[in-house]
Amino acid sequence: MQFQNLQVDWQQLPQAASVEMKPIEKAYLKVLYISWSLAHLLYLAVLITCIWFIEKLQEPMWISICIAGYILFTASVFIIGTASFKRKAYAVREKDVIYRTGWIFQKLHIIPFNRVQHCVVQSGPVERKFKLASISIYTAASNIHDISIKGLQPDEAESLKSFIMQQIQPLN
Amino acid sequence: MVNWQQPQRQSAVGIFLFAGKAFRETIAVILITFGSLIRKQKSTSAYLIAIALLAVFIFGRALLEYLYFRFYILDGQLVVKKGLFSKKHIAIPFERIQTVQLEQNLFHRIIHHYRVSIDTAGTEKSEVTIHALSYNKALSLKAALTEHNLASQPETSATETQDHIISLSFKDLMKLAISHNHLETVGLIIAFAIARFQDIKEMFGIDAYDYLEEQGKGVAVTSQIIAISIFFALAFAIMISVLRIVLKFSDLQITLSGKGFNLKHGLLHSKQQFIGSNKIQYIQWSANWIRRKLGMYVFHVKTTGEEDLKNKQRIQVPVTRVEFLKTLSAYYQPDLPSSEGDKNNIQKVYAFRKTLLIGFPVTIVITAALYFAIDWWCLLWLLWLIYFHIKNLIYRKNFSYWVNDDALEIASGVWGRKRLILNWHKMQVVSISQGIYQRSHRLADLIIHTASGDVTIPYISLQEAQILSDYAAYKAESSQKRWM
Repeated sequence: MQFQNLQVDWQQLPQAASVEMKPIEKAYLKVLYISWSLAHLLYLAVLITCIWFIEKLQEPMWISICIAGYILFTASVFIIGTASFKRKAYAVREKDVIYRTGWIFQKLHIIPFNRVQHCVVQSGPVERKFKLASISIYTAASNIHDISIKGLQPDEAESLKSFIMQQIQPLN
Repeated sequence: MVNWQQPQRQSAVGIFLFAGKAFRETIAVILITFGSLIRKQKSTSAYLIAIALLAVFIFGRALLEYLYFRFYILDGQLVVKKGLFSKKHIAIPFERIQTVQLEQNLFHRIIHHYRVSIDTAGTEKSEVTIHALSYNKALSLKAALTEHNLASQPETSATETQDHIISLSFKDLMKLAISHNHLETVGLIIAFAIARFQDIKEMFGIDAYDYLEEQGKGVAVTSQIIAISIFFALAFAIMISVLRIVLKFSDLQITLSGKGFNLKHGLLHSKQQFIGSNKIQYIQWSANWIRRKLGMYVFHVKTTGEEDLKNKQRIQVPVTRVEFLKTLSAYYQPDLPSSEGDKNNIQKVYAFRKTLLIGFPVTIVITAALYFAIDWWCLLWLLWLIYFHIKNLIYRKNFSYWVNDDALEIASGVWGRKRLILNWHKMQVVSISQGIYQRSHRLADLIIHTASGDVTIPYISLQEAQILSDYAAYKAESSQKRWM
């Protein structure tokens, strides 16, 4: 076997920052709005129950604090979530997937195919209603077990999964 | 020669070990039962019946566990079948085996047997423990399970088996014990005491806290008493630390070979740990302030799925001479980036940003809470804020990193020191993270996710982070070396 150890020019490496990213489906924002609305209605029900049963909370000052806190929390989830949605994008290269996410804290992940353990395509009831699916890519990284790209067309998610599975190399 | 293709049982003495395990697991029930018998002042026959029932239960369970536990090797897998009512069939491929440990407690030593623990990588946690195997069988099983690591590493098999044995003298052990984190020991003693207080309350219905409070009522708390208490607590903690270190690291031997690290240590509870070299994700050595002054370090081998492993199974080696560090680190990465490359630092603004984002909010909340309790004395908390900022300034100053074609090296620490070496191809996912301030100043954090935790370089220029992340991805994608 011929041993090679060629010098690598760092500037000549493929740059993840210059890759054109593909945004996720716009319809996914509706999925997010429905999910958040359902969750926040549940929080509201819990809050009302607490006020109903805890006498101390029935004072006008505490009711105002609770309502203001709830509105602030709900508004921040919708505002930050919407801004974050607009930044979500991905790109598939020959040897890896790049995923961009977050608004306040923006993140760019590079996941090499030869580090992927397995991937799963899934879609919840609300996603199915809008004909959307998600793909979760699992690696052995101990602190982030999976990176999920949500809001894809089901065909696209399936073909991405097939492509990744083809690229996964066995351990040996 | 053992035929591992044939299903094997543990040694028959394993029944006693299973019984011991069953006894430990049911100790709370046993104590509560006897506690209630004592409280109700039952007759001797009631005790005898209780003891007989418990003995039947414990030994019956142990016998069933023994009879229904079999293991063998088939098609490169360790197969374990166990359980009578809830049957379990575990198959662990050799390449997934992370560590094979041989352990001996006092009972094992007397009967010249070993406990064999097999840990696997990943999140599946399919851990297997064989409680009692004779000396020869345990060694033969270990050899059979670890042989694969040698066969699967053509790059290391070229290296002739070479053993470097590191041993600790009594003086080294004492230095190690004295420089131990005694606050940790005090914490452990307190946790142990609280657990025992709780046991006493459950068993006999006596509240130990109330009892102590009652006894302490007549005693006036003076500064002298406080000083004496602190002195005794510290002396006790040092004594316990010395005992722990001597018991744990006596007879320490490290053997390095083409297969991996072999670690043997322990006085009463002897332990042998083996870790395949390809399972190592990154290495690290660290020293607290005292140990740094004494030139002593603790060498950590970070392996796959370590977060899931119990603390006792983590590979940590005390190193009392700096030259040993070179030998140990060379096994993972012979060319240290710091020996050839330029030193890089993180941005100066790191310290201020950390104080602003963590120190200030914590100070506001705690000062406000303290105000209700101790009035304006709450402002004393500002001293913590000053300390926190000084800590951040020192951390920033000490944080350096070096890179070469094969590895990344990071030096960090505030009062102590830490050095980390990560081979690029061990990376799983690489991320660039930016907060609002970082974006406006073209700065970023680089996070390299490995199978043994994250390695982060905070507050470097965005351009540097992009170059490093592109390079990490390139190395992971092009390297022919195995990451596991």
